[in-house]
Amino acid sequence: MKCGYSFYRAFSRIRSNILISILIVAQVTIGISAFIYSSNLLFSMKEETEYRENQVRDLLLEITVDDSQTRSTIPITLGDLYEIQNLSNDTAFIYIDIPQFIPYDDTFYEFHLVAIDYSALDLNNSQAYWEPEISVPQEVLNSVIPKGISLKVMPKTLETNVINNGEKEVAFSECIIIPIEYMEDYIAEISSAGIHVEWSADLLPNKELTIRKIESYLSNTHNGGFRYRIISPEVELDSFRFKTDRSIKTIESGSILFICMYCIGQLSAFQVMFERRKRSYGICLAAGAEKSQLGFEISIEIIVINSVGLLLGSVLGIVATTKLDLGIMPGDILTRICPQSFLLELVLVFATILITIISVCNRLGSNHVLSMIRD
Amino acid sequence: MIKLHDIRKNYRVDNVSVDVLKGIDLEVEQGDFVCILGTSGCGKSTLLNILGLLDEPSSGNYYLNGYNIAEKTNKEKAFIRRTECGFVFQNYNLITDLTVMDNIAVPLGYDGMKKKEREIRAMSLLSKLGMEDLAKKHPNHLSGGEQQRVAILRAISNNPKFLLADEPTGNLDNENTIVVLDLLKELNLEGMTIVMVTHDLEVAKYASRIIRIEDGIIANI
Repeated sequence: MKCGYSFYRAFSRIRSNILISILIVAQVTIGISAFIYSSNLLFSMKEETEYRENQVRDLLLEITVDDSQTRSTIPITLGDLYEIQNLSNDTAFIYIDIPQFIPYDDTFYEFHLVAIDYSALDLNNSQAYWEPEISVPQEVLNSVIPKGISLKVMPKTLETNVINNGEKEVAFSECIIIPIEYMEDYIAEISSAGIHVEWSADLLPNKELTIRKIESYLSNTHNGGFRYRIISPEVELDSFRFKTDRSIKTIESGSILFICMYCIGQLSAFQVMFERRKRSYGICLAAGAEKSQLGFEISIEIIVINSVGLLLGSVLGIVATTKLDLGIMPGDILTRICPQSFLLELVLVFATILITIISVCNRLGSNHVLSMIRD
Repeated sequence: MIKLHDIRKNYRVDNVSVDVLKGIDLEVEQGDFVCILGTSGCGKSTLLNILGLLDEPSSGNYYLNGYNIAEKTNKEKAFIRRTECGFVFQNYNLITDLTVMDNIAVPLGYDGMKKKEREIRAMSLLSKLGMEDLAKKHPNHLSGGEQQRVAILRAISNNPKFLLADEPTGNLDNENTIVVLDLLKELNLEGMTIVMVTHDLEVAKYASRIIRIEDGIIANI
């Protein structure tokens, strides 16, 4: 089959019907972007649920600022942490993340100083450890660690152990770890968001009672100013589930509506276009075109228009995923760009293209050349 | 070149069979200028459509260059339409979203000719009629006579062996009728076989042979 002329005719048809082509592309773009956005919401929620379900340490202390109370200067002390370990039978995993921004030699060095309970990690209390990949001069590192302890390269096993425990927040990259005992040297730099006290619910003895004891101990000790709550991210997510699911379902329904509009719109638009061009196709057949050549032309046109829509829809979908916050996702859950969305989108567009091509070519095949010319 | 044997064509209208052609026997030789003359509805256009492979007979045999058309596949028929015969319609049937040059080049394009070559061929045909300045225009900016001449150029663009013209002057005024008929005559003189359908005896006089059809059969030759 001679393809060159079919490409030429397909593109000249798109050009001569540019307004209709743009409208179809716009329809595809809207349908695809809505589909990608809602799919990304769904997959992100699913991934987050799975992540939280698989967390080894599935209980954590949440400290929030109580604006109605006069605040004490620090949300937690070293004594509090010892008491927490005591109440929870040494099952708590404790670390405090203290971000550092150190100017040195006209450069700002940004890294994390992590005060961590060494007892859980079997480390030497007189040592600070630094991650070998960290690109900070030794002088800067020495300036931030507590006096009297030396700096040593972090053992590889430590990094592996902690990551294997499912801990994402303490990525032991670009950080120095110091014993928790020195946390009070950094009181002014500690924020409530940097304090991490976590447990595995399975290991916590008398879970409910212990949780209440720890919460009331912290509330009483700090006499207002902060609220202390031990939460399970998994349970928290479940409590948001109804509202979140409803919102996602709304978006999903909208997206399905758009997709249906896209599929039906595609079919009807190209059927209408076929009707409009029937005479022109008939003339081409009378002039010696083969039906397969015309079918190829129609296919090129459908593929080109859908591909442009697919591309624009994908870009718009990515922009919506990263920039558009409709307040659907609970709290700190980020909507991620999920490859599955794009895979589904490709399948959907491919299926729509195929159905449209088959239906239009079927009409071309069933029409007689004379009836087409006379239309 | 063209041989028809007992060609019949009937249509079903409201479950009633209507016989349009009732056994046509006809031979057209290379270089003939044949005119099929008849009143409206006598079956002359149906006969021309069968000759141009735009329609199929209900029965009978159509031989083209010795080959039975009934044995040809759709692909082979398209090839014959593209390379061996040109068709000129009463209402020109030009494609409105293509320029004059592109309209002329349609059969060439489907035959696989490259764009540059198509343009050269279309321009040389246009220049023969002194119509080069119309090359980039669209058909709806042309007069009826100009459109019909473009339609004839499209029909002959692939150097077909024969040209079929269905009432080619039916929509034209006297002046343009003469121009178009002179063009057909000239093509015939250059060796092209022409079969023309008309109801106008004055038009038919341009042909070397007149075949009168009445009520689906050849009345006289």
